[in-house]
Amino acid sequence: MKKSNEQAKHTLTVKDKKGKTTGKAVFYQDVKTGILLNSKGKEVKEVSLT
Amino acid sequence: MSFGAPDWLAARWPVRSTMGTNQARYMITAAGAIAAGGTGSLDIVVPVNYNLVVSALTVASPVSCINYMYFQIDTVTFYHKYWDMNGDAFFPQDGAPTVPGGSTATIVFQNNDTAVQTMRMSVTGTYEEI
Repeated sequence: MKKSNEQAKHTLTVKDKKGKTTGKAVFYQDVKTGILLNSKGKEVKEVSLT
Repeated sequence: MSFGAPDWLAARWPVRSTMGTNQARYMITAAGAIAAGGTGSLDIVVPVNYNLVVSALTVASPVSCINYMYFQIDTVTFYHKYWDMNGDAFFPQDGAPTVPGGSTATIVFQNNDTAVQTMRMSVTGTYEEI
């Protein structure tokens, strides 16, 4: 997926009590439209690690 | 101190009005199942040609417990809060922290409950073209 200068990279990270990373999700927001995209360029409504 | 130039000596950061015109304002939302004592964090890397003006941060947990959140720009923490069920940080109209292009805004929230909890958060802000 093209990473343009008009996309903000968002990373959601979940860690356990000891600080070990147990989950991570990366997505992108188009700053012109506000649309959230996953790493494959598909639109998502919410980023979730549930 | 000019707009967009942080003063690291005093850990000060430019703030500005959110009342600009012709700007895009967005809220994003995220959710995570956080283990007891664990944390969730959201990093936002701002595109180089834009500033991100942060208006509000909210975090929610479904159970009553004193939890903790903080807000960082790059390596400096500007805002801490202990909260119970709903952690809200609303920045005033003329005092919104501004994250310059290329910098990273980080919101961290900790689950102090004794069980895993699904916590949700949202960030509201404005991207303005530099």
